Amino acid sequence: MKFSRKTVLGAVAAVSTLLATAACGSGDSDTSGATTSAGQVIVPDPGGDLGKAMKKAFFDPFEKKTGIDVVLSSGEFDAAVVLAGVKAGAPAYDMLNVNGAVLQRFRDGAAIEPIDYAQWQNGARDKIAPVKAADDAVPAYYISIVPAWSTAKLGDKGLTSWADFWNVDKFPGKRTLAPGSWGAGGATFEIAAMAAGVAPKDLYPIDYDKVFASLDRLKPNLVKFWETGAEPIQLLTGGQVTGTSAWNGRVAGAQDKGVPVASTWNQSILQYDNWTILKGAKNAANAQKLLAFMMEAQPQADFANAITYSPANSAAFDLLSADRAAKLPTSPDNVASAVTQNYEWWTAKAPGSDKSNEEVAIERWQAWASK
Amino acid sequence: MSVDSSTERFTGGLAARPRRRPDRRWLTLVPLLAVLILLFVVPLFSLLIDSFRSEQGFTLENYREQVTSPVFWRAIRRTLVIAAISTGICVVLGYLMAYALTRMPKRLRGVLMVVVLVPYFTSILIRSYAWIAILAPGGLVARTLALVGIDSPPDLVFNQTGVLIGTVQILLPLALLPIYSVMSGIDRASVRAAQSLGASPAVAHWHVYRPATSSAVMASAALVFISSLGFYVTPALLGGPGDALIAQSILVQFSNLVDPAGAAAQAVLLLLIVLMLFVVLFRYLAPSLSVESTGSATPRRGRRADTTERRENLRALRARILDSGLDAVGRLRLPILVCGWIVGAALLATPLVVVAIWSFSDATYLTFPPEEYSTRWFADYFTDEAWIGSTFLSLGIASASAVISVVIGGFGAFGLVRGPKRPRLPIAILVAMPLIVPPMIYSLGFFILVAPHDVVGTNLGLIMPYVVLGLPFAVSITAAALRNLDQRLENAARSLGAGSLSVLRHVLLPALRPALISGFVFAFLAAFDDVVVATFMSGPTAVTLPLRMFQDIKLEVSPRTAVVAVVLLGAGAAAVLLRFVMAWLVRAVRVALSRRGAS
Repeated sequence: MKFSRKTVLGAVAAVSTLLATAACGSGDSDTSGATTSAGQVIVPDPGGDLGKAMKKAFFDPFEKKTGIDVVLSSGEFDAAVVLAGVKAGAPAYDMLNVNGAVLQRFRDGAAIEPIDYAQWQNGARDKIAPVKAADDAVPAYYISIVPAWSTAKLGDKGLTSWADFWNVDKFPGKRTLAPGSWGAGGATFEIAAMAAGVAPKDLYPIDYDKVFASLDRLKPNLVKFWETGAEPIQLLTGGQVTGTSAWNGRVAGAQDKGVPVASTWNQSILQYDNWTILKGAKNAANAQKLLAFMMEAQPQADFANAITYSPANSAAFDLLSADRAAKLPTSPDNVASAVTQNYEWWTAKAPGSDKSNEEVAIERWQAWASK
Repeated sequence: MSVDSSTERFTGGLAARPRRRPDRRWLTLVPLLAVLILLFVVPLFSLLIDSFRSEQGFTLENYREQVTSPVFWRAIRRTLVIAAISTGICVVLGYLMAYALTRMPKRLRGVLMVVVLVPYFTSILIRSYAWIAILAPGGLVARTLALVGIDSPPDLVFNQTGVLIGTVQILLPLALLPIYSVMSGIDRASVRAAQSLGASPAVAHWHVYRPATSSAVMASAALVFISSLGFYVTPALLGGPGDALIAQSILVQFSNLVDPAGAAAQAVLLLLIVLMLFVVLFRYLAPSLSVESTGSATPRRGRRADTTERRENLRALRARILDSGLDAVGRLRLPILVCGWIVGAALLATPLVVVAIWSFSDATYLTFPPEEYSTRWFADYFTDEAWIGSTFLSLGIASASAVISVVIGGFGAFGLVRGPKRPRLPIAILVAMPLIVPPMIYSLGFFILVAPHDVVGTNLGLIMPYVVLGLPFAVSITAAALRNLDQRLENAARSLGAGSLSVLRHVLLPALRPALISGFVFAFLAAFDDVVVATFMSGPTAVTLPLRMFQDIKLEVSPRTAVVAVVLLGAGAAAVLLRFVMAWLVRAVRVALSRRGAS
């Protein structure tokens, strides 16, 4: 019996196609079939405590109220990946929460749609404060980057400023910070400047020489830069560091789980995310509905009760207990000792350059860090 | 020196028959080339064009910016150094361990194979956390050293040492398996013959055994070196503040500066540097790229005849020194092999032991040793449809793409080794490309190309790039084995009237089985362990297991991903156990039957 090579190749091709289609067929049946007549809306799942809070306060009640499925996607929401998707005409999500400094990139890339405020409750838009709602983006929640420490190693009365964070004689142990290659994201530039004694009102424009001199002083005690929001707490728990910068919700979440960590509001850096609706979103209409629902006072208050991030709708504070409000980044006492991150400066063009301040900062950081 | 001429010389009449028909063996290259061009070259090329494009038209600005940046060159230098050192460690350890494996009883081999494959059973992220728990001050190593009185252990993590340890752990199997697949096919009779003629064991090994494995060693070295260039997570978690490697630099360019063109330019430059290195090392790396057959399988001719007497003397002197050195090594061979296995197994398995212990932790964070134990994270995994769904999705996708890779790659390897000689180098380079190109760059190019066609979030969208990523393994491992296979066997079969399919079934497949299996294993693992391609291609619906693990531990460090490792490990161990039980059963039945027949 003889077969020509062509027959063999044909058979091989047929088998591989068959396998591929068989595998695809089986997978599709797993993933589809969840949609109902009301349709769906695809949002990124930020995971962790933030994901749970959003699900509890926003997504579950919205599903119950409208019958629209909120599909939580645990894929990557790296800005560059999302932008590539929008550019290719296939955004991975219908709506997205983006950091204040990253928002400009979405605007530059014409990647976001105007928000349909006609669907909002009367007057809700005016209640968005302290940062106002824009035509194409609305603040989602406020978070703070705080100095945090291990109470097991440094006791309850720990750091009171970033200068303390730098002071390893008084507060012994190793440190970790967010990488400055995130630009504004990890607030490391502001932190290093304040540690060098720069007053909060003089932070911008960032004085790079001061920042890197300050970081040079810390470097012997800096074990690494953390890469994910969960890593600082893990490093504190594991004992590899005694002090770290961390998002306040992460610290509070860890405390709830009995982890011996603490933080201070003093010199915390206030940041915020924006909700945006992506250009080319398949379920844009549902996304507008979800956004209008999320920004109502009650869901906003539910959110702030589930995680210690501040609501964007200031009317939500009327629905919160005084105890709870005191734990949030924008409560009067906390915000008084905080610095609000200046996204306007971060996204502005650097003097004498066609690059933004953030791009210049990242490049200078890379040059410093690679030495 | 070519395969064809040597065949003619040594097989005489046997070679005549296939010559009568036109040689169509190159046809087996067609599917390989089609897949690589359509699914790899085209997407990459479209991205490449972007790196030369600006608002004004053609530009070299992206390249100028990188070439003039000291940051870029520092990252390149660090990356190449780490890659070279980890390749050296991996290949030496891999060689020792593979050799020891071939001398072990079969049953023990199966068990140790699980140890070798153990690193693949869990996410790279949690493995890195495990290394931190082991290596950091106050960790396992420090505590062990304190027991023997060493109170100030060296810094083992958050520096280049940490990066090296993490990298070697991941790449050691990649060095070991190709070498093992060739070694297990070597007939030891020739080594015994050399020994019976008076050569000491180590000398016999060096002169008889080693040459037969050299092409596999080169293939391993090339695979390990190239793979390490794209490492991102390991240096990010285990490195210190100044240890960023090129993949991290590309990621910052891509993610933080949102500059895909600049990222592509960095990737292209990396590619060029690696290619130049390969050209420099061409003579040594040639066999691994299946360009020239230099193993002992084919006799050498030509240049050796011109060597002068003096050089011959020098060579003899060198050989004497080598042989006396080998004698010394030979006497220590058992301790060396045992040490190799102890170090290797410790590197491979320790993080998994930590991960396994974590999976039974009651804590919400990864504390080692855990303060309290429970099975709540197992319950959490088995009751979560999303996790179970992702597990089966990943198993299915990785199997499907690995099968396709092995079939296409197996035929391609045949065409590469037995087919025409001239296109070998370009094809070999093309095949190695998917490994060299940082996965992020390839995924981005592929994603941009296919995103408008509704394949993102489908299984097909994941299988296609995974086939491409599996091909370098399937082709290089099969080709290395094929080069060691005496072509006369095929010709003999053909001269006895066997058709192509019979030759394939009765000669090639049995001889290449170990290579095809390890090719499958690596193609499978390339897909099963991938996070980067999945980042782009998963979409909201088809979230693969490694991506789910990656996101989960990135967002909330918990023992949940540790559970996945233990479940997969259990399944792997069960599969191995099942094989032994089956083999035992078959043997028992056979014995029983033969007894009955005898009585």
